[in-house]
This record gives sequence, C-alpha cells and structure tokens, in this order.
Amino acid sequence: MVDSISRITSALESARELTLDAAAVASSRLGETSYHRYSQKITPEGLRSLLSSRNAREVRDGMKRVASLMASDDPNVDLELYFADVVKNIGSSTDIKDKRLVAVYLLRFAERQPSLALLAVNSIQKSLADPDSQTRALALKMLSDIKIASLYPIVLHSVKKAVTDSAPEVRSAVCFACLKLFREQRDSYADDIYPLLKGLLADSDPAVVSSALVLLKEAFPQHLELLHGHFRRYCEILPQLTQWSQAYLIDLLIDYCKTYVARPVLTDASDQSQSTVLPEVLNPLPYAKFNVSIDPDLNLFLNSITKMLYSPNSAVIISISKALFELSTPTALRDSKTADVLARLISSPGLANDQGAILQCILVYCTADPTTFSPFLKKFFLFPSDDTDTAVYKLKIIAALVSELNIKQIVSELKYYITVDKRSRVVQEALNALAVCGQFSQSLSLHITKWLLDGLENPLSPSAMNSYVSVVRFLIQENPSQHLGAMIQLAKTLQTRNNLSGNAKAGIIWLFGEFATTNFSVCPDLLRVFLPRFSYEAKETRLQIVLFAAKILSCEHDLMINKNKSSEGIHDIAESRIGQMAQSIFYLAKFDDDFDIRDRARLFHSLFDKERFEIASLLLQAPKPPSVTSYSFNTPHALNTDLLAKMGLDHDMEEYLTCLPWSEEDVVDKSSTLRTPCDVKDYNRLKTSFSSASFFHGDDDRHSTRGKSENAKTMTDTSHRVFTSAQGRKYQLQSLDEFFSDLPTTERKNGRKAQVQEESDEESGDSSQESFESDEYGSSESSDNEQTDEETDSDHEEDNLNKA
Amino acid sequence: MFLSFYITSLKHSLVFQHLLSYESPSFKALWTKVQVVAPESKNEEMWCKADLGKNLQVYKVLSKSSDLIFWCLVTRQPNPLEPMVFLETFENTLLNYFDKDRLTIAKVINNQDRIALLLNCMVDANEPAILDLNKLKEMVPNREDLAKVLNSTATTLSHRMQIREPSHTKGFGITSTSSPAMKSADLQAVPWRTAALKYSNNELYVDVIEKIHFVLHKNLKTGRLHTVRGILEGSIDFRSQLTGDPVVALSLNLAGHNLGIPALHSCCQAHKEHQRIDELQFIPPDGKFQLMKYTVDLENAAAGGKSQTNMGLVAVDYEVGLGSVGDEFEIRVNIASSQHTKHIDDLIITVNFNAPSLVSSVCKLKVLRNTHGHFENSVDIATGRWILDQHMSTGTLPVLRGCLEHASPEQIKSLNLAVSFSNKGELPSGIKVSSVDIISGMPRNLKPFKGVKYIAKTGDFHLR
Repeated sequence: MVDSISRITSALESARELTLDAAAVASSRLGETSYHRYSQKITPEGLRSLLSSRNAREVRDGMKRVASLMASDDPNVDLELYFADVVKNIGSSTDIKDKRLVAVYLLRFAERQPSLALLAVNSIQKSLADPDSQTRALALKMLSDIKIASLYPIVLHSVKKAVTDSAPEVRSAVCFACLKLFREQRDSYADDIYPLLKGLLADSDPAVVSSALVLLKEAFPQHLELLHGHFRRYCEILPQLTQWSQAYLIDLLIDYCKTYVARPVLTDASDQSQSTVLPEVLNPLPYAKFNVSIDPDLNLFLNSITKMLYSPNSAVIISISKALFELSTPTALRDSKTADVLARLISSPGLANDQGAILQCILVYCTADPTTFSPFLKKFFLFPSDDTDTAVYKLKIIAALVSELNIKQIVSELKYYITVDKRSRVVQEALNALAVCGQFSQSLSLHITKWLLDGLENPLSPSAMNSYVSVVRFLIQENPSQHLGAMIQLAKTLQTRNNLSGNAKAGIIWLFGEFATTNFSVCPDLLRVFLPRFSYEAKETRLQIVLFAAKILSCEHDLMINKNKSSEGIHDIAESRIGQMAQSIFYLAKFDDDFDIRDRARLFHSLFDKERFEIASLLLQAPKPPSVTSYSFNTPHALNTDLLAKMGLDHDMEEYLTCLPWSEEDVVDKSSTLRTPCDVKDYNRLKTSFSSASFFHGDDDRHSTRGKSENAKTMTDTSHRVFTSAQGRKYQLQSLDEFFSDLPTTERKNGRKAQVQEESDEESGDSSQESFESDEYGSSESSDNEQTDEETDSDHEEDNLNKA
Repeated sequence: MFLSFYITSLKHSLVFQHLLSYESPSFKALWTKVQVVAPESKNEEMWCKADLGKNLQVYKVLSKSSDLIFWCLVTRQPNPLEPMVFLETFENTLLNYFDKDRLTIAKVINNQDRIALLLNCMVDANEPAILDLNKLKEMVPNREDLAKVLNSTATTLSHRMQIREPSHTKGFGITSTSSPAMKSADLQAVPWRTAALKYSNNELYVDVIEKIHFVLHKNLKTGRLHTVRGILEGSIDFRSQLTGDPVVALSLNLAGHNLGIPALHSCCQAHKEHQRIDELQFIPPDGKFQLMKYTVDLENAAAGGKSQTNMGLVAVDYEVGLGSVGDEFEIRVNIASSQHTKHIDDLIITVNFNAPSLVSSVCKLKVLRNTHGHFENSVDIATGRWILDQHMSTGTLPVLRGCLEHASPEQIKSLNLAVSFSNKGELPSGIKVSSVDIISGMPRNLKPFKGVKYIAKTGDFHLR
C-alpha cells in the first residue's frame, strides 16, 4: 500500500518536473549560453528580489548569478551588500545545491559580516541533524568555514557530536573541521583535537582515514606515535586511500620508520660475522656484496608501496621512490622497478606536467648510484619541445651519467644541443655537461676544446659566448700544458678572423691573460698584434687588452725575479720590450672614451710606475676558481644542503629531499610490539542498524558483502562485537516502515539489547533464515571463518531466545 | 594549503576564480604581483611557478587540451608536486564531468556556478578532499545540455517512472533532484562507482590513442637513420554507460611490446596480484575516464632495427648536397599502405635549416618542384612548411625538391624536418584491443553497444 502511494507521488513529481522543464524550454532558457545571457541581464535590484523570492527556481537563478559574479570578479557589483539576502536562503531553501552555493558565498564573506553570519548558524546547526548524510557533512563544513572566534566552541561541540556519526562522509568532514579549528586557534584547541584525531585514525573506513591523515600531516606531523597501532593496517589499506592521502601517508611513514623501526642491517656476503647498520643516504656502503636483513614491519611497508607503482598520480610515485631511496639500499630503486616508472614518467613530453620536479628527484638519486638510471640514458636526451626547466635538469642528469661506455654518444648529442638550442640556460647547461665529459680523457678534452673554438667563430649571443669561453677556460685550466695547440689556434683565430664580436675577442684575450702564468711564450706576441689595432677594437676588447698587458707585465716581472734570484741584476720595466708595449697601451688607454678603461689604465700604470709588483701580482695573478661547477658522482657524498645547492635544485625540492636521520636505537624504543594492532572503530554496524532494509534490498552484488566481510575481518573477536554484528544482520530484514514505526531513532542506542530481544521474539524464524541464505550467496567468494562463526553464534542465540 | 584557484585564457584574462577566503587576492591583484616577481614568464612553458613571498607560491599550468591556463595560489608545500598534480586533476575532472574533449571559455563561463561547487567539494580546509568523480557528480548533479535532452525526448513519462522508482537514478533525468532518501553512497560497492546505475542504452567505448615521439638522426655518410629518441606514448580512454555494477574484461594484443609498469586507473586495483596488463578486469567508473597510460620504449629495441618499424605510417627521408652547386635538397615521404586506414590527415612537414651561421647569411629557401601539397615560406629565411593535402591516401610517395640558395655545404647539411600528422584506425605500435567483455554484474538481457577507436598522432617527430 505504502509502496503504491509512493510510486504515485514519485510519478506526480516527475510529471511536475517535466512541465517545469517544458516551461523552461518555452522561455528559451534551454541552452547554457542563452541561460547565461539571461543571467547576465539580472540587475542588482533584480538580484535582490530573486534572492528573496519564494519561488525556488528564482532563488536558484539568483544564487547562480551570485556564484558567477564571485567567479568573474566583477568590480561593478559589491557582493558583500547581498550578505543577508544570500545567507537567509540557508534556512529557507530545501535544495542542497542552493545550500552549497550559499556555502561557497559564506566561505568567502563570512569574516566580513560576523554578526549577520552568526544569524545563519542556527539553521546550519539544525541541518546537522538532517537525515541525509550529505546535508550533515555540508552543514559541518559550512559551520567550520565561518571564521569567527566566538563560534569556535560551537564548532568544537558539533565536531565532538559528529565524530561518531554513522556516515563516513560526515566523519571525513569532522577531520577537515578539526583542521580548520586547529589552524585558527591552535593553542586553545590542540588538546581537544588530539583525542579526536586518535579516534579518527582508528576508523575502519578508508575515506575517513584519508581525511584523518590530512589532519595528522597538517596539524600534528610531530606526533608520529599516533601511527603505532595502525602501522600494519595502513600498509594493508594504502591502496584504498585517496591518492593525496597515499602520498601523505607514505611521506609520514618514511619519517615514522626512521624513528620507530629498526634500521636495516647489512651483512657482508663473504664474511658472515661482519655486519653493520644501513648507512645514511649517500654514504658509501661498507661491503661490495651484502645481505640485508630488514625489520618485518619495514619490509611490509616497502612491499606494499612497491605494489602501488601503477598509480596514475606522479606525486605518489615520487613519494614511493623517496621511501625506497631513504629506507632501503641503493639497489632497491632498481630492483623494485621504481626507476623504470620514473623513467617512464619523464620519457615523453606530454606524460607528466611536472617533469622538472621529477627530474630533480632523479638527479638526486643518481648521485647515490648512477648505475640505477644509466640504462635509461636515452630517456634524458632532449625533445625539441621540452621546456627550459626540463631540459636543464635532463642535461644535469646526463652529466651525472657520463661513463666510458656512453661518452661518445653523449658528446655528439650535447654538441647538437649546443649548436641548435636557442635558450641560453640550456646551452649553458649543455656546455657544462660537455665540460664534465672533457674531464674523462685527454684526447676528448682536446677534441672538445677544438670544437668549442670552432664554435666561437659563429655569431653568438653574449651569454652563450661567455659560457663557451668559460668552458674552454675550464678545460684548459684542468691541464694547461696539453692545450698549447689550442691556444696557438686561438691566437690565429684572433688575428685572422675579423668578424669576431668584441665580446668573443675579450673572452679569448682574457683566456690568454690567464694562460700567461702557465705558458708565457705565446702571450707577448699577441700583445704586439693588438697594439696597433687598439683604437679600432670594441670597448670590451680594449678593456681586456689593458688587463692583458698588465697581466703579462706582472708575469714577466715575476719570471725575471725568479731567474735573477742568484744574480743581482734588477729587472727594469722601462728597458724590457713588454714593459714598453704595456706602457704604450696604458698611454693609449688614457685617451679612451670609456672612463672605466681610463681608470684601469691609470691604476695599472701607477702600480707599475711605483714598483708595487707584489700588489700587482696579487691582483692580477690570483688563481681563478673553475668556471664550471663540476660534480663527479663517482664518490658518494653525504646528502647535505651543500650538495643539493650545488646541483642547483629548486628550493622546495631541496627541502623535500632533505631527509631525516635514523634515530638511535638507545634513545627511542624500536621494538615491534609498539605496532601491535590496536582496535579499529567500525561504524558500519551502526550504519546497518541505522539504515533500513531498503538499503540492502535484494542487492546481491558481491561488493556490498565484500565490504561486510572486510568489516568482519577487522573486528576483533570480542564477544559483544559478534553479538552486535549479528544484530545488525537481523535489522536488514526489517522494512523501513516496520523499523520506524517500532522505534524512535534516539532511543535506539541505549536500548539496543532490549530491542534485539523484542525483535527476535517477534520475528519468525524463517525470515532470519532468509537473511542467512542471502548472506551465503554474498560471502561465497570470501569464505571467512569468522563470519560463519558469527552465524552459528547468532543461531544459538536465536535458539536461546526462542526458548526463553 | 591552497588559497585560491583561477582559470584564465591564454592572454591572461580571467575566466573563473574561486577564492577560499576573503583575504585571497583576486586575479587582478595576483597578476600585477606575478608580473612584478616573474616578468618574463611566458606561455611557452607548460608550467611555471613563482615565489610571491616567503611562504607563498603561485603555480600555473597550461592546459593540454584547451586554450586555458590553470592557476593556484598555495602556501609552500612539503611535497612540491602536489599543486601541479592537483591542477592537472582539476582539469581532468572538469573534462570528465562535462564529458568534453576540450573546455571552451564559454563553457567555463556558463558553468561558473557549477565549477565553484565542484571546487567547493574538492577542497576542504584548503586541502584536497573529495576527488572521486562519481561522488562529485552526486554532490553536484550535472545538467544535461541541450543535445542530450533532445536525444532523450523519446523517453516517455512511464519509462522515466520505471527507471526512477527502484533505483533513484542520478544523472539521467534532465534535472535530478536529490531527495534525502537517495543515499546511494550507502550501498556503494566500490568507491569509484555509484551503485545501481540504470541506463536505457548501454554503451561502452574504448579509445586507444598513441602519440609518436621520434627523433631520428641521419648519418650523412652512410645514409642510414638511427634513432636518438623513440617513444610511443599511449593512453586507453574508456567511456562507459552501463547498468549495474559490471565487471569488464579488456584484453589487449600487445604486439610483442613490453609495457613495463603503466599507470592504471585505480579501478584496476593494480596492487592485487592477479592483474595482468593484457587482460585487465575492472569495474569501470561511470562516464569517461582514463584507464591506462603507457609508453612503448623503442630506444632500447633500436639495436635490432625494430624501432623504425613502429614509427607509424609516415616515413620521411631526405638527401642534401644535390644539384650542380650542391645547394639542393630532396625530401621523400613514404606513406605506407594500410588495410585499416584509407588516408592520413593533416600531414605537415616543417623544413628548417638550423646552422647557426645562417642567421646572418643571404641564403634563401626555394622550392623547385613538389608532387603534392603546397609550400609555405615563413618570415624566417631558413624555415618553411610543406603542407600536404588534408587527406593523403595511404600508399603515396610525395617528394619535394628545393634549394637553399647560396648555401655552403655545412649550412645545407643542417636540414631538420619536423613531421606532424594524425591517422585513425591503426596504431604505430600495432597494439590492438582483442576483446571487451562484460563478465558479470549486468542484467543478462542487456547487450551493450561496444566501440573501439584507434588514433595515432605525432608529438615530437623530428629528423635531423
């Protein structure tokens, strides 16, 4: 009877809807665009009247207009003025969508109008007791979004009430509400929130755990002891959490393992008696071959994360790789195929947006063990569409992966990038990588220098020019005597080529100035060549010529002093050829347009004039630091901030990759008894009793029963739990009407036991059998011992009760 | 901690903004600030971030599918990937929610309220909260647009009654009301699928899309091409409209490729032991989603000469140093014949000489003859585009001969070709969907319509 009535009402309802829709069609508001146009035409006054209308549709139109005004940042309308009109809809409107729109509005404007916002609190609080779980969750979210200090106690009160709600989405909302409270008034509420968090972490629903982890990560990241009892369970349910919480949890558990789990022990494979704890990241391993013994809990964690490598979320993958990198031996990244996944993520341009960040991680992992990524070398070769960041970090990784086997290939690739790429940062980085290659062998170094010198003849931008020269300088500085040929070629280039830019010439002349200390003989001739051309050269070149003259003069003086140490002959500048040349350069420079050149010439002139040779050599012959930051990763470094800074990582990435040291055994208790599983709060049984039979109406799909069997698994087998779950099963048999006609919802909790007796007295045996049958269908695939136990238990009870 | 979200057009005019508190800056304020901090940030980069203060950062991601830029303002995150991944998720959510392949600015503007609601659900306490699309659809019911309304006019009132009554279906009607009685979340089987959906027309489509990324290097002495980079980036997109909680089995013919560890949608439950990549079994989420993202690595296989067989239908080769003065070049394109595809679309070959010495030289790019299409010179003297017919039938061999006047041999050797095309019906890797079956969970009498589509596109395809 009731059924048929409800059918008729719903038919009427849909009929009404259809007519409404037809009306909408008639008013040509069907398409989105035309609706938008209509919406645009709403005047400020019209908006107010729409918002205050009694017609739900008009209110909706008004709210939509408010939402679009908020989203489009229209300067003509001050939305704050509508506060009262908008917020009053929270009570009057029945549509959850309107309420959500009001929530969006409140979130933004509540702070501005605290007194008016407080008026809305009453109706929000009312909907906290709404039968619909979504409404309850929304109400909680809204209430906690209002940032008014006097409201916080009310929020806390509602949170405490809602924490035992049967719906997981409400409990999730509790987590976020706690987080908001914590952020606003940390000092006064931290003590209240902490026990709530403890309860939420013990929740059996993965969705709630996911939200609780956000709260833990944001509010109590230091309280890792909260994870003790849940460690093993979390490792199991990790794949069921939301992707964000997966990443958070892995990051939290890394720190947890470092603090509370025993450090892995390495045993020398050749000598069993030798063993030591796993060194900190990037410290050298003591043995060439070793066996690792890992704490079972750590092993559990590492195993469960390696199964997650299929995740589509790159943040999760990065967290996994970080966990393996920090908690296990350097080979773990390769053995677990994490390296493959990282290589896949960066292998093609469109795959991940954030390749720069992923590449930075790979770069750091490479420092620990280049062999992990050397099979993927080709993946780091650039695509023309790679953006600058990606390209730069790829080149850094290439530089880290250079070895004898692949050097030829790398050098030819790098040369291509240097000639073709237009971005100066990329060229710079490629040149740096080339410099690293040059360190590998003498012949290669010569080859690269020669190639670079040829390259100098092309028209280059000033910055590229500087990079070229600094790499050439780096290679020559490494082994100056070998590069005499290169220097001579450079000298020739300077003399014969007329199309060199002033910058290029300046760079080369500077290089000669530096070269003077190692091989003096080629330099004076160059000065001679430039002497007559001085005034025709570009500004930069002239400056360098002045400097060059001063340098070789100072050099010559030192040489003479060394030579003449034994004899008394004192070197006379005025007499020497070089001295004369230098003086004439200084003289020419006195009439220069550029005041910097005039200034320098005066400085050097007076230095030599007054015979301050020591100062001159200090000034001019100071050893220059190598221009290229070279990092050879052949010897592992400690992963400290220095090294990270040297690699040129992003600041954030640096912070993320800086890792916690392992805690000492004697300071922190690391026994595995810490992680004895603690009780799980299962609200599902509450839900089964709360909800009615209609929720499980003939629903024979395997998953709802799977859910149940999982619950059964997580429940500890204390007697009262078995009892309640059996009770829950009985409630499934009731129809909605029966249920509500019998019992007011509020009493249910207290008088649970009494009800059961009543119920089972009334209910006939066959209905309960029915339930077991349906259960058998459901649980056929997961034949859980516990569950069958329960069934027999409840069977017995049934008997007892019937007897009674 | 997220502070605000913005969507702008490529020219940085605001399309949508969602501020999470009164203090969050409007886009106008933010944009002035960003221009001060990072004035050179251009649209060329796929993403960028800028530090606005000690603890404040702004992230910007260029949409892959649409002409939009997604922004968010965050406080410094411990995991720097998070804002990026969130923006990406946000974009995908919008695409899937509106069931579109690309978002237009008009679509966003028309749905500002809806997007605000979505974000309101996705972010709680300034942290990512609910991101399951099915839950979002439940919380923010989508209004079907005009086309769908017209399509479903055949549905009669009685039919509507039938399907409404037992299940309270969502997302089917023109407007769906959410009455308190509908708590489908309670009998939800798996978190990513709303339970007990009912559809009158059951459909299921599989789109396999592969993007070809190849960089080939031509050794001018031996005339052989060798692969510098070779990656096929593939994705399997799924679109389903199925009644009940079906278990779908998708079996793939991988054509001998090893896909390694691809990214799988969480519905595949890949952490379980029994999943095999070529025989996936899963309960699909409702609507559109990306099932798998894989790459086929053709770099390591290059030694066996296998890589270039998987390059797709178009093979390009060139020769330089031809003609009496040696300043001519010839580009030969081989469009392989195929049983599955009649034609390839939008084949464009960009010709570019990139010797650095060309910048200041007097060379001029000229076309002597071409068999198909037309040639377009660009402002840059050493660049041009050979645009072939929109539909080139397979099995043709277009040739282009041109010259770079007054070029030195060194300069003509710096020829560089970029190829772009797309085709349907065949994938370069040869991967095929052998079957899509619904194993269980659907009423027997329903026979869903199944469709499979293969699309190949080029990403970075270069010959140098």
